[in-house]
Amino acid sequence: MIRRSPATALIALLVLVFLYAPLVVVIIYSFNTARYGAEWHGFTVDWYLRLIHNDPAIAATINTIELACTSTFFSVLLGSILAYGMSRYEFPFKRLFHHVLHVPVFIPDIVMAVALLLFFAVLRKWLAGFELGMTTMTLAHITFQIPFIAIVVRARMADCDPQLEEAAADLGAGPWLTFRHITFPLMVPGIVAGGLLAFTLSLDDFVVSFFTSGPGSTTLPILIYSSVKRGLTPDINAIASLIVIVSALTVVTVAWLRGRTEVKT
Amino acid sequence: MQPADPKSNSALAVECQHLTRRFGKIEALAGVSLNVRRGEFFSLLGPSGCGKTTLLRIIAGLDLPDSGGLRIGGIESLRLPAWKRPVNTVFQSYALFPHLSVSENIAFGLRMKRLSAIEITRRTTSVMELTQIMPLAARHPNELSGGQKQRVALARAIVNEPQVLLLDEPLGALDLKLRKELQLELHHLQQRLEMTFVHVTHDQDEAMTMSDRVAVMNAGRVEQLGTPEEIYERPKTRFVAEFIGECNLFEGKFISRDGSRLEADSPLGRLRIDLPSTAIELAEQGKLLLGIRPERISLVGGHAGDNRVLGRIEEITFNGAESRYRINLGKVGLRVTELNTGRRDVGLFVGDSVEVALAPGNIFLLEG
Repeated sequence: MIRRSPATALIALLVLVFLYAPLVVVIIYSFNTARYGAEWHGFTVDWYLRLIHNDPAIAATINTIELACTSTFFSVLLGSILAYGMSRYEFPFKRLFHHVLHVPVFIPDIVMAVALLLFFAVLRKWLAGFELGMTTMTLAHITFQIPFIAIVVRARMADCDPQLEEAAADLGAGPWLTFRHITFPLMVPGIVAGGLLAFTLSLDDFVVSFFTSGPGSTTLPILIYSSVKRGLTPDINAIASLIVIVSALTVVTVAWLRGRTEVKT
Repeated sequence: MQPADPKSNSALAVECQHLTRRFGKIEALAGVSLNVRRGEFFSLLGPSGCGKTTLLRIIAGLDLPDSGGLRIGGIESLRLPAWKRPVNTVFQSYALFPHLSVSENIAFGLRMKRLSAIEITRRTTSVMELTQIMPLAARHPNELSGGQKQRVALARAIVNEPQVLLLDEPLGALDLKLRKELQLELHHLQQRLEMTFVHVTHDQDEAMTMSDRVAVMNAGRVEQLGTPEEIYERPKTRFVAEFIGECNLFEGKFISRDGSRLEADSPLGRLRIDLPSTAIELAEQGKLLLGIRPERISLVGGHAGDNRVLGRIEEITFNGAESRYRINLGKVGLRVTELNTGRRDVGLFVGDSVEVALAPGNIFLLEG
């Protein structure tokens, strides 16, 4: 048995504090009565209640959720098909393609954002449409979500015995029935985990959204940014707290789903 | 023309004609032709890489040959995809569906055939009873032991009542004791179901115990095909003689032949050899490769008409039921195995001189 030394425990504690203290502070101050500054004046849930009447915040929330849902839907569809194709078929430059797929994961958001902005400008020049707004933001989000989904789904498929599909064929299932009864059910945990990951990425994204948004397509991160320029206010803290909670719940769900499916295979 | 009902006609379950298959530079099958009779337990035996699994996969439809023909139940089958062939496979890795329970795994083939729910339940239940896995019905594959998985994989295949059941090293992943147990069970099951079994293994014991006939394969070819007795008693090639059981091999020189009686010169002296048939063709000169099983050599006694050679005991290994001797005959050594029946009055010791007796009918002639 490994003995736990007090030093290890202390370091672990410090790391946890380092990671979560800012988030805890935001959540605590969202219950602060004081309108400005870092002084504690008393407890209130007023800021949360007032959000209901904060029309820009409501509109931004709707935009954010709509954007996250739409982009996740399409990226899950495309990313899963991509993962399936990459793990089941051989094609020229497959290795190169595999590496290229990882690039959007590594490149800085700001570069991605500038590239997308330029790309939409070029498209706008040659084709009609592509005015900055919800459509361009959705396209932009799908772009950076696809690799994450493809990577997660592919990892999941790599864990599955390819002989399972042969076994299905051997038992009389044609290609479609094999996919429906064997391959797809085995992909599902990967698809769900990848989808939730993509969903949180879209929910929290600021840089890409900021560059590709247009009038009327303000999302919560953009709203928070523009409000903060006018000073930190408790209602921002309340919105931020809510985002933290939604994101955390999503991540916990992903972990739970993974844990559950790993036991099963 | 093809017979309308293959079950009533062909006595052959599987017919392979000159099947070849290459993987890059490796020739997995170099022209394999063999027939499997209906209702027999047929084993493909050989070392890993001999092409036995490739042949099985071609019969299953999971791989295609480069050339050759394949008939299953008298019907040309190469063009049929795996899911339309009347065969089912027990995979070496079992390949149980991890997201389905044991009973759902077993019912899968029947569901794909769109049988009624009642029929599926009836057949699934009866197969689970037959293979004694009824208590496991609701479990998932990850909750099963190796032996249990093996039974589920078997049940999942036989529930479909295939014309031919293909088994790819079905007992390979199990420990020795369980393997012995399941060998017997598989054998009984096959006799009970009267189903054709084609079984791939590298374990000669397994092939000998279970099979009606065995095809010994090496380097993409069938070296010899016959009953376990034929293959053991009369191996045709050096490979078969050495791969199956133990064998003393020595070279000889042709001297004369009279029908099935052959005389040859060897390091053991002049030997009389009885060929199994007068029809055996033989280059009536030059070198011969001869062999004899260790337990077919008598150390003391023997019968009239045996070849007799004097030798000295060099080593004795006592092994409980049997003793193994190494006999020095001057130019060559012989391995001799004797059952410890206790019939001999005097024990033999290292250094003793013995008269070794080799019956003419026990010596066999090998190709290459």
